[in-house]
Amino acid sequence: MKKQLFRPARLLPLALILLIISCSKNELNNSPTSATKSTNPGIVRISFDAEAFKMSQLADPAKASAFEITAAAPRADRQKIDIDIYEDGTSAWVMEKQQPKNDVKEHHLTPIDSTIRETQTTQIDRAGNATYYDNTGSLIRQHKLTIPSFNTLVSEIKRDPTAAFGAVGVPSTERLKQVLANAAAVGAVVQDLGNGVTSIRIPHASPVSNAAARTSGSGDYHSVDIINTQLNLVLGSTLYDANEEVVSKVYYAYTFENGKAKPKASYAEIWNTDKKANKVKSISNTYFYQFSATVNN
Amino acid sequence: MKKTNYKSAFLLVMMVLTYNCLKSQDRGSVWVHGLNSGADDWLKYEQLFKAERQLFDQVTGATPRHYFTNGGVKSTASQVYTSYSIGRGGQNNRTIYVGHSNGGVVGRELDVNPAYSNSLGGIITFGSPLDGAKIANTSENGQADNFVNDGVDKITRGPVRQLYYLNEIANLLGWDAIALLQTTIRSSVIPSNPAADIGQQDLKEGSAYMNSGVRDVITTTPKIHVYGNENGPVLWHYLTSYENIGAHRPLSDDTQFVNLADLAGDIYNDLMWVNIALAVETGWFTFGIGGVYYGWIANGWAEGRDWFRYDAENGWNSLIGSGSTAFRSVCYEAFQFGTYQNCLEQVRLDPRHYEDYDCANPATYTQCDYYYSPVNGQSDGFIKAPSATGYNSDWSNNATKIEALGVNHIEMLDNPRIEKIFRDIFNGTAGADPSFRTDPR
Repeated sequence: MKKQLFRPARLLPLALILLIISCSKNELNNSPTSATKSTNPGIVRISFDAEAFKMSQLADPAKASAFEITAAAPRADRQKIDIDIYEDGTSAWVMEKQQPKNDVKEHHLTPIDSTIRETQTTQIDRAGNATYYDNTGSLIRQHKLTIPSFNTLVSEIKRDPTAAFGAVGVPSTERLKQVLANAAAVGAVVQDLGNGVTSIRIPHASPVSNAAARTSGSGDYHSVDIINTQLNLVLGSTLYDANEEVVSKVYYAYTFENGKAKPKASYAEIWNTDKKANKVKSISNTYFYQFSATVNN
Repeated sequence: MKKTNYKSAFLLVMMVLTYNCLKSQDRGSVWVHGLNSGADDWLKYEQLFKAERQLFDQVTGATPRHYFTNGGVKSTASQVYTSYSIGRGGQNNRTIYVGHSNGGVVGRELDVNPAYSNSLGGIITFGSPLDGAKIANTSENGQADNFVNDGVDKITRGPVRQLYYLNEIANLLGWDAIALLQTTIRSSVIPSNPAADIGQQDLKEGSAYMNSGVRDVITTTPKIHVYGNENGPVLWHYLTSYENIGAHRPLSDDTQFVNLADLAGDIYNDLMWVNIALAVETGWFTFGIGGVYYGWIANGWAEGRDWFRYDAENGWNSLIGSGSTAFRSVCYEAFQFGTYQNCLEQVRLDPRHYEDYDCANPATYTQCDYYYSPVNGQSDGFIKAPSATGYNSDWSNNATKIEALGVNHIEMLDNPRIEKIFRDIFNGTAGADPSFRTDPR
């Protein structure tokens, strides 16, 4: 009963054929065969242990298909992350998988392939070579990744190292004013709400309006951030699509140590439009633990 | 005396030769492929065991034999019966019937239909949907179509939201293939004229054929049901084998797409965390202006990651009917957005003491939600194990059930474990029904 019934799946593997080519193309030859920590600290080092939790709330579960219901189930992923940012804007990453606090494991009756080696540690070097290791520290695979440049941050730090060093955790008022002014100059709408609260509305690069990519809701997105200008903290934000519909709403929570703010959690509600044009609301929270950021002279 | 000895010796030799001749043609065999499949499905094992065991071709003409299955189970059974009933040795109540997938359902039809009664000595089914194949239903009712479209949607969210990854992920996953997947699936996933393929209609769960009473007939014919219990993730294992058999590659390795899905899941996971870190970096290591945008992008990558890691597998299992759900609850720290405005108002009134307000220790609470947790059951990646063992078929009551651990629907045609199961069956060992014992040549 192959050919006819196999049709639904026929093309799925085709979608992955190029993956094979791509993988082999991006294989690296000279990477460490076991996980090691970076010994070359950058001018900025960020470390945190964070748990990303998400689940979806179906508008009408009675009309949802079985796989839509199961896809709405909660997921949690926890990582310990160390990031070194270098003077040229490049960065090196070490991510170690941790046990999530939220127990959302699935309990399948299916035997799991014992040959599968799950990634425990990911290292990404400054050239974007990502190397994956299992829980014994043995190499699993490698792949090339593009990591965004941290040039803007680095140039700010270089411009005023002393201020930068002191500002870690809370941007200076001077810098915040400058950021707001710069943003206003390029089209952002800054509005003083009084009593030390300012809102800023800024445009974002539109998600692609590419037929091949088949995006939904593409267009000109913009966000509105609510900023406490005395504490220099963003309290929360809302992201709108081109139709002024909210696609994400987030509230930020901080902890304070010695007057410095550190991320504690972000609580987000995100609305995605599925292929049946239904709005699906997702809860997407990220909890941060042991956050630290240091600037090295 | 001497003359008598010669005569005795001659008779003895003749008896031995006759015995061996009879023994070497001890049992007829009929090997039947699956729905709309090729004659060479059983090529390997048919040739191997006819050479190794005292099995002979029961069917007429060249073997392996092809049967047209789109006329339905009864039509196929008629063709098969015709092929062996007038073949070498004619009907033979020692004949062993071997059917893969739909071929096993055809074997049952031959056993229960009075027109063909007592024509087989034993029936072995491999991955046969004896209670129906759910995928036959879901490929026709649009669920399979939705499943694929949903997958494409999920895996494109991240790169679409973060344009400079578009080419990178395009190279990784191949937009052309995905576009092809999307456009072609709509026209091809649902048979252009499903009513014309009676074979597929017959195999649907709850079909008129399945409910015609064929499952209720009890016979004494020895039966063995071999069912695959593929390792998770079954979808990626199954697709690897499907791709390999289509390309006439060996079926020995079914991990190719497993590894690729793993890699894709890892990359999407990495990019999710990269964007979470960017959201933090925007504010000089606090959440900054525009950080919400990165958070939203991170969510897009998370959706793709979860599809590769979980949703594809769970969704596929629901399509083939081996998935179910369990009602569970999960508790997590949530935020009451309704209090957000109050918080802002407090900060507005006196922004100097953020820590003192609910904003610093916001109105979080433990939220417990009930949800449907997917539970994937045993299957060969295409046919769920209960159907392959005739759980709801009385005809299967006296069948010996043999598990093929780690074997998928395609691998049943070529896999070391299946080869061992065949040997166990023909040796009458390892729990196999001894009535299938067939001596080596």
